[in-house]
Formats: sequence, C-alpha cells, structure tokens
Amino acid sequence: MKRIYVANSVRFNRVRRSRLRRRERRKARKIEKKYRKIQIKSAIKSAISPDVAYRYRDRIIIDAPTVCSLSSNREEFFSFINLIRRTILDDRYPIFINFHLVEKMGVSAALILAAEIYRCRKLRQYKNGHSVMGNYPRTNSVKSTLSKIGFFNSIQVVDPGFEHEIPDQDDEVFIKMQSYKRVNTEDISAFATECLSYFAHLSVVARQRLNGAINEAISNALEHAFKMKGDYVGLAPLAWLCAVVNVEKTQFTIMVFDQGIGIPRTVPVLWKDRISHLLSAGYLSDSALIRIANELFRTSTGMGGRGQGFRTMRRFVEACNDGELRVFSNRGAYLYKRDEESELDDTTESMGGTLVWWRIKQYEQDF
Amino acid sequence: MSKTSELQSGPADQVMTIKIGSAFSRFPGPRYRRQGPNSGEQLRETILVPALRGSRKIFVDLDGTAGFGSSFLDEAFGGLVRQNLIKKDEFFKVFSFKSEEDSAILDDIRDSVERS
Repeated sequence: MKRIYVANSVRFNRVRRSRLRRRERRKARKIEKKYRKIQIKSAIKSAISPDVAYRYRDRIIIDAPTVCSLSSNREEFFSFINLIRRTILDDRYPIFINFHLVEKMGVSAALILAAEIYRCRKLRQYKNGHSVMGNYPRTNSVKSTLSKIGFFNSIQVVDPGFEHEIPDQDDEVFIKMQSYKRVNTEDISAFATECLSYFAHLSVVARQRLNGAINEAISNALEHAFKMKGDYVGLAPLAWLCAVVNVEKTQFTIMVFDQGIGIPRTVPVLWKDRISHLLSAGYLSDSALIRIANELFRTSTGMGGRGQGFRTMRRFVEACNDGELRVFSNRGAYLYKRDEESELDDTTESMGGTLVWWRIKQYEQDF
Repeated sequence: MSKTSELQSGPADQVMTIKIGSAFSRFPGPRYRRQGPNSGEQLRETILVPALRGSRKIFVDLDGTAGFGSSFLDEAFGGLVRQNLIKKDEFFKVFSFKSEEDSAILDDIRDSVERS
C-alpha cells in the first residue's frame, strides 16, 4: 500500500514538473515573439520609411526603388542595398524584394544587386529556402536587361527569358556577369576578347591594355579589398565582372565590383593630406581618399612599388579619344577623364564595396 | 616548343634571351602566386632568378602576350631589386627589354626599379 502511494507521488511530481516546464517554454516563446515584433518595427523604422519595407506573414518585403541607377539615383539605390543587408543580418525572417515598381535598371546597379543578393544568401540560409526572394520586374526593359546580363542565373533564379524587342536595347550587347575568386588571366582575356569582338579595328595595344586593366582591377579587389578584417567574416573574396557593348555608338562599358572594405579604408593618410583637405574642403571625404589612392600611388601596403594598379587602369582610358574611368567606393565617387580635372562626389549612404567602371568610345583612328 | 628552349643561353658573358610569351605564358597574371596562375612572383622565381645566376646580360622580349598589369611587372622586375638580388644601378646594365607592341610597359619597369 505504502509502495503504491510513493509511486503515485513520484509520478504526480514528474507530471507537475513537465507541466511547469511546458508553461515556462510557452511563456518564453510569447516573450520572444513580442520582442521580435518590436525589433522588426524598430529596424524598419531606423532603416527607412515603412512604405519601402514591411512585414507580411513570415517575410519582410522590401520595395526596390523605381529607378535603380548609379548615375541618376545613387543615394536611394545604395540605401536600398544597405537595407537588404541590414535586414538580413538583424532579423531572422527572410526578405522578399518587390521588383514590380522598378522602371529603370542600370547595368552597374544590376551587378551590385546581384552581388548583394548572392552575399546575403550566403550570410543567412533557411531550411525552407533562400533568405532573399523576390518577384520578376513588370517593366519589359528592366526584365530584358536583367535577363541579358545574367542577373537571374547569377543568383540561381530561373531566367524568365525575354524575346520582345526593346527599342533602346537593340544595339546593345550584354556580356554576362562573371565572378572570380582568383585572378585567371585566360578567362579575363576571353571576356575582353568577347567584349572587343565588336571593335575589329582595335589594335593589339588596345587589347593588351584592356586585359592589363581588368587584370589589375580584379587583382586589387581580391588582394586589398579583403585584406583587412571586414564586417562579414567567413565569406570568400569575390570580384564581379560584366560589360555592355553598344555597337551603334561604338562604345563599351566594363565594370569590376567587389564587396570589400573599400579604397578609403585602405589608404594611409599622411598629415599633409589631412591639412590640405582641411584647408580646402574642411574634411577628408571618401572621394578625396580615392583620388589620393588613384593619383599618388598610395595603398595599404605602404611598400615601394605598390599602388600602381590605377595607373594601368587609367592608361587604357588615356589611349582613347573619348573615355572615362569612374571609381565608386564606399561613400565616394571619383571620375577620371583624359586631359581633364578629376571630379569628386560623395553620398551619405555607403555602397559597401568598390566599383571600377570604364566607359570607352572607340573610333577607328584610335591607337 | 618547350619552355626551356625559349631561354637561349650561352657562356656567362653572352646575352640570354627570355621571351615571356613562350618561355613563361601568353597570359601574364597577377602580382603574387596566391592570387592566381602566371604571377609576377612566379616569373621572378622560376625564370628571372635562375637567368640572373647564369648570365651577365639578359634580354627580355615582352611582345606576344595578352597584356601586362603594372603589378605583375613590378613584382617580377622591381622585386629583384627589393629582394637584393640585383642592385638598382646595375639593373639596366644586366637587363635590356624589347616591347614594340606597347612601349608604356618599359616606363612601368623603369618606374618599378627606381621606386624599389
């Protein structure tokens, strides 16, 4: 009789304990849910107005800007890119990019966006699918640009394909984006050859200089951009490359992009630079630091002979009648044109990387 | 054609000819080995240093490649001076170059040696 009583009390205590544990767990879950809601609200509030990002069911929806372009809407585009990254890092919900509102998409913007989506998917992965999802754009020209440049393939999304004719894009040939973990000169040379196949009149020197310039840009990206400890530890350095050729205008644009720490953070600044900039502009902006790196051959190594990559990149522009080199890095932008004063420009939002951008207009009499 | 056959060497007082496009690679690469194949570091260690040990005069033919980056040239030639394998003022007494396709490459090499 006594033994049965003891057994019952033990069982009773066990049941009671498990009930208590279950109740505690429920309580903890409730608190966590409440906390998450507050966190998402505050993150969205701090990042951008709620009409751009909002939570729907189990995902956060982010509206892409109507114009995604570095030339006409850089500030808003960078804040959109930063919002994607911040949301992925701060929240545990997947994000959904709404492309329906996009009416214009620049090639360089598409390249940066593809790299960001690729990185975010690596940074956070979910059991049930990708951390970044989205819909296809509605505007035909945007859909066509993204499809032709290989945007969908690069982020492992089914390419919807696009057969309709777009009046503005008839003369444009897109060389699909590629990513590099190492400098493979043979692949780079094949890329440049494909790009220049529409310019049969180009001399051997032009081709060699282009190869050298792309080679330098990718080498710099992989060597310097990821040398110091960045914000995203564990991700392999990657450099992205793409090009657009406009046959009618005899013009081509080549872009190299990396998501490293940016040129301004790698340039050692001397006191004389600080003082001269304090006297002229009042502060040393990112664009001024890019100019220092570009024109004074100064880089993070501080060793003799280093920092010459920009010279190779500029030499290709110098050999052409009409061309320009633009370097976007973090908040700064630097424009170099032959025989002209370099132009500097800064934004409040950082792009979180470096984009080297050549636009060359090639006439037959060049070289 | 084998790589060594492009390194035409004779007695120590004769000129050794190195044609980069065939003795090394038609696609010169980045600065360091760790960055990718056919680097400037690789050219220096596998071809230039042995050539420097074997000859007093070295003639380098830079034509016939896909194109050079400044850092490749800097690591290959400027690196020789930085590593004290040759003195700065002796460099152009030992090395002579040919670059008919793009003469700007010669400026790069000169700059690299002077800044090393």
